[in-house]
Amino acid sequence: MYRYDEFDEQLVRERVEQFRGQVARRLDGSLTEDEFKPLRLMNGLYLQLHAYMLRVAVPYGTLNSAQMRQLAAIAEQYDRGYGHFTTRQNLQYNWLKLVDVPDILAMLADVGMHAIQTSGNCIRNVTADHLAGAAADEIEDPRPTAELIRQWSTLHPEFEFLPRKFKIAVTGAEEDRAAVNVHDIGIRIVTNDAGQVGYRVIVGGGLGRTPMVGKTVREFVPREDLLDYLEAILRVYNRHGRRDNKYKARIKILVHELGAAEFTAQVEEEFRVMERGGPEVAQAELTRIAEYFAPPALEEREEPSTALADARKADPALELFAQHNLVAHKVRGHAALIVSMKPIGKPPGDATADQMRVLADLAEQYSHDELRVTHMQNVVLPHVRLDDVPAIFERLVEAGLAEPNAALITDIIACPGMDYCALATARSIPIAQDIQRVFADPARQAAIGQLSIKISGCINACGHHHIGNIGILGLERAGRENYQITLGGDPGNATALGERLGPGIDAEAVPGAIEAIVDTYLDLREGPQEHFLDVLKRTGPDPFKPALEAGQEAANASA
Amino acid sequence: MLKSPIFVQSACYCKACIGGECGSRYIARMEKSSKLPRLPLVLTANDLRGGGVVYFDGEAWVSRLSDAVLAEDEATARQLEQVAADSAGLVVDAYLVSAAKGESGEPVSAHYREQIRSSGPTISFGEEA
Repeated sequence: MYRYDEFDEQLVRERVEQFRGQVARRLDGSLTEDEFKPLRLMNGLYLQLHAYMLRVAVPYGTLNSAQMRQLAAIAEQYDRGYGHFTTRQNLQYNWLKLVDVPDILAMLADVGMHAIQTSGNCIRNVTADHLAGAAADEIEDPRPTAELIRQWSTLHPEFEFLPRKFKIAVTGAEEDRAAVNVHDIGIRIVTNDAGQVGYRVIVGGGLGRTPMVGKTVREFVPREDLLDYLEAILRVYNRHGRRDNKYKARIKILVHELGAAEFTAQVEEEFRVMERGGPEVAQAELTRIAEYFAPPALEEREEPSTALADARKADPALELFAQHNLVAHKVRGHAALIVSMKPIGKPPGDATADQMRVLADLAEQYSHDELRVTHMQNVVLPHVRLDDVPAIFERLVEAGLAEPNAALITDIIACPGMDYCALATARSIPIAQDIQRVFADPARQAAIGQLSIKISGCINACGHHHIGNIGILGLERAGRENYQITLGGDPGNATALGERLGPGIDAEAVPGAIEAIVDTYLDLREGPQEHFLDVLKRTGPDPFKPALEAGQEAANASA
Repeated sequence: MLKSPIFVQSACYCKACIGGECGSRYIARMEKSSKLPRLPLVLTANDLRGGGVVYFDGEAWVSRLSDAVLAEDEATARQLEQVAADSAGLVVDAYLVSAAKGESGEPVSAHYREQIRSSGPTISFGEEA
């Protein structure tokens, strides 16, 4: 199980006390807001619409039960009894007081947690496949690599004041569940022809106001060269990144403006001339770090499980849940179990303190004390026995967390939107809720099959709308909320950015428009095996265009 | 009209006597100031210690929009602007924002963003959700 080492422990404790002093100096007037703001952002503390918001880092989405219980305790003691899982595998509190934050950070430090690198123009906390160490299709657990990068980047003096924020994601599986092609740097663990494990490095992807798919700058970086190679990339970026214009400051703009070939040439030249750390150092570090991610001792068991099969036959609700919320595990007789944090009509990604404690209990009892937060805003019990699924399901039902909708149309990603966020131009959560209600019937969802809807409440795209099969972007038009629909986004291996279907529509028209899009898909598909994206590729967007007007008509009729 | 003594105590910003008492302070300030949002308007911010949304009621920062001073002329608006500049120790991100006049003359939101700021999220959350 992942843990911080003694260096991190000291660093985090020192940071808490530094911040305590900084808050005191802000309150007594010694620091102005201009001076204080970068300091609070370095500790993940934002000011949102209604209150301070603290973004807590959950490295690689990995939590143990003690950490989850502490998150619950903070939610009750200092917030309004809940927290919000984000699209970067973090947790946010929405209702904090500045004066309480040093004590909250101290509580986090007690369980090896913090809010460092969750904000600011630094290398943000690294994300990884949420099924790391569990997925059947994995070449290698990506987390030791991600942690190596994290330890290298934490408080790295050269990269504390980058032109803009910098996000790195790592996957070690065949299927990309970490969206590596839309990160500043995406890393895929690969094997070369000689059978050596190394890294494919992708640079310059991103969403936001200028969405771009990353370019591969090196097909294979040997294991021992990774940090040096990343350093070369960061140096080229630090040298040429557009500090003059916030909206052009991300590395994707640099890669785009220079061209991938020229950018790559500059990185290779930097890599050639730089002083190198040496292969022994990197390998020794990686070996040391990998010990922190030693897999739990799972014994192979019967698969399929008779106990689970019998229970599924007896309980249609469990049958539905098992169909959609279990993912194949690399160890026979086990599964990764997805707990959907998208119950119909609830804010996507929110968990109450009681629910967090239920998740902690289940992790402790059934999943080797491990939990994962996904970028889909769900929580995973990564190592459960198939035999135990019926008992887990029963507990989830009691806690209101047994929605059988993982990867289905109601498993919607939505940013907090204007209900919380100071940057938002429109609301996201009510839109998600309205769409969920339309498709609430589990049989209807199952018939539609896997289909992703992602909603952002502004152009910054925290809700990843560009890579939703159906994307929804909330903007303002003439003093009203207005929503643009995009089709064709794909976050996986064949990364694609959605294209706008037509002019924006009113909030009331969105559920009807989505329903019309889905109905069109169902009419056009040649069978349940033909995914929405395949139909869209085959027919083009034209058959879907009348859906926008249909949505508006439906809204007018019900008004 | 505003009732706050804060306006009277504000420092002068004219070139002749920075921080002094020459009496021309608001004129000097107004000449230099940027364009105001559409009138009428209110002054709003977030409370430094607690983070909550606050409005200036003429004397203090309060939590209800309906208690805020509604500036209907430029002079009052400029005074509010000065309050914002003088309140950095109490509030964060102070700004003037257009508002409308309610039935009893009280300020009400003129935009959905400010409506959500003044009344909270439009969805149920936490245990209520």
